[in-house]
Amino acid sequence: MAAITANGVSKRYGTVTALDRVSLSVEEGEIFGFLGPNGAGKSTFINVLLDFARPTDGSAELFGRDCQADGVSARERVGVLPDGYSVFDRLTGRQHVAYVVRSKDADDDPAEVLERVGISAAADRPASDYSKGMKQRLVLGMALVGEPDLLLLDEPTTGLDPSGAAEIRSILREERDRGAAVFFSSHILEQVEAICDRVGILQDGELVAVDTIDGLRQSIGGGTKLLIDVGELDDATTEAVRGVDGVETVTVSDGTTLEVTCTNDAKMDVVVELQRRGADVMNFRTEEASLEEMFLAYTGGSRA
Amino acid sequence: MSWRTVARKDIHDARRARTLWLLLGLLSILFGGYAVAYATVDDGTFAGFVTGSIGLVDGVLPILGLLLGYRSISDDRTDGSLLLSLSLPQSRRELLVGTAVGRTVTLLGPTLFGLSIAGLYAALRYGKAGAIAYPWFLFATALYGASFVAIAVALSASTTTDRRITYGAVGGYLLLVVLWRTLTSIAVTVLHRFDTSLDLPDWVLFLQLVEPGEAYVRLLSVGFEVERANRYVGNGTPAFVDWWAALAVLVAWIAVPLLVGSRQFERGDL
Repeated sequence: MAAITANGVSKRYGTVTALDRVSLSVEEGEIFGFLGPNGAGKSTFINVLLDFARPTDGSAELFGRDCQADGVSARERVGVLPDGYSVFDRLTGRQHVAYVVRSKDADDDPAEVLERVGISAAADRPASDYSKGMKQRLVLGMALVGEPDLLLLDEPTTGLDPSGAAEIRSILREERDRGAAVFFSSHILEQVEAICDRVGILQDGELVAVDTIDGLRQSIGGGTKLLIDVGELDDATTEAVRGVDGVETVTVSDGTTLEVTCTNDAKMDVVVELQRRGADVMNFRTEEASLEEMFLAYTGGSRA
Repeated sequence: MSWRTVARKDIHDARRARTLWLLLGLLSILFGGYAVAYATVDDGTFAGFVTGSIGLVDGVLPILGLLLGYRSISDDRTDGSLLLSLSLPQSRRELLVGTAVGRTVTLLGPTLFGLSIAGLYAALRYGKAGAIAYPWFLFATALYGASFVAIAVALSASTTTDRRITYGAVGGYLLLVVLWRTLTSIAVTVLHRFDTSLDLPDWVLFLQLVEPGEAYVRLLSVGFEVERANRYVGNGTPAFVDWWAALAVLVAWIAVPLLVGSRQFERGDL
């Protein structure tokens, strides 16, 4: 059964459209990255799943249970790290986890949960004294209680240093391998690229792409980027390369290196064109397009 | 039973915030102190002690109940900790009920503790005549306190606008504690076209009984002599101001605000 099913979910605030007919499905056992610039509507979508916000149109389900009509049972098998939360000022980390254990009727040991997210030393301090990163770890720990079948995480690595983010990623992999679905939003591409099985890109409330990382690479210029060192380069040559069929972008770095993104088929045509222009090709490399470039291609370069 | 989880968390919170201990100290001193001081101010009977205690409870419980509750949910909503609670498999209604129960326990724990100690002391010192009805006093007090907490918590769930909550709490206090009798009098005077020679109709009695404080003393007059409640007792008073009506009024002051508040809370986005 699908962990998340969204059918044409729209959300309008007055004249502003925050979500525009978003449909997607996330299966158990996969890590799904929900990618988009700030303000694209990622949190709004997650808030609809949690019934913090009601959709203007369409509907969403978690494990086949309607998020609005049947919200409580929809959330039963879900662990959540919501956007814009704050911890309970006076409760300790341990009490936070104990609250979730009781609410979910689980039997986790709060100490073990805190150990797993790396804040057991601070277990008995009030959570309001925690740093942003420790709060993120605490709430992630709360989300892990009761072995949920779906983790719904809104920007989980915010406030964490790179090694902290890597720790979180390895926890998410463990959860996925256990069989849980992981759905997390991020505006940081490296986070998503590093662990996601599939990615959805949201732009101005519209889901503009859903695919695997490889699939996205395929669909953008064959995913190929050429780096060509030439002895000498003039503007006419650059223009000529730009005119080759299948070439999408051409930039020059260091005066003598051409960076060309193009379809796979156009690779040879580019080299042939350079030869014809009498350019001296000294070196020739190809690179896979990074997610960042794909992201820019999809969102029209408006990365926030 | 998610409301229990919420209530438990809320009580934990009150304990750590020292609200609970502060109330415990304050109310124990107030009620206990009165029990001790009573010997010097009055005739020194248990019944007289209870009458005085009723006055104290009536004076402090409404305001404490409102203060404890009126920002409970709105504060959590503004700062975002409400999102953690509602990410869990519990509904907004369960959160509302749990919060109301938690705050009620926070208020009534110290209140009933203080009154029990004071009552025990008074029974030993001023004689046990009338002491048998003391548990009824505690029961009525619990209902009375719970009604103000319920009103305040419901208010805190129904809006996030700071101004409205403040006005609501102040307005609620003025209406329910200070002005109710005056307003019913004005209403009757207007209906009688300012002819003061007419007798009060029976239904006005009920309208007056709807004030929580009046319902409280009416309920107490079952076990004690309460002067304020005399007009509801005795021959010729209609059945709808009997003690069970007072009981129903207090229960309604708990249930109706919670129902209205939860409907407001469930509507719309967080």
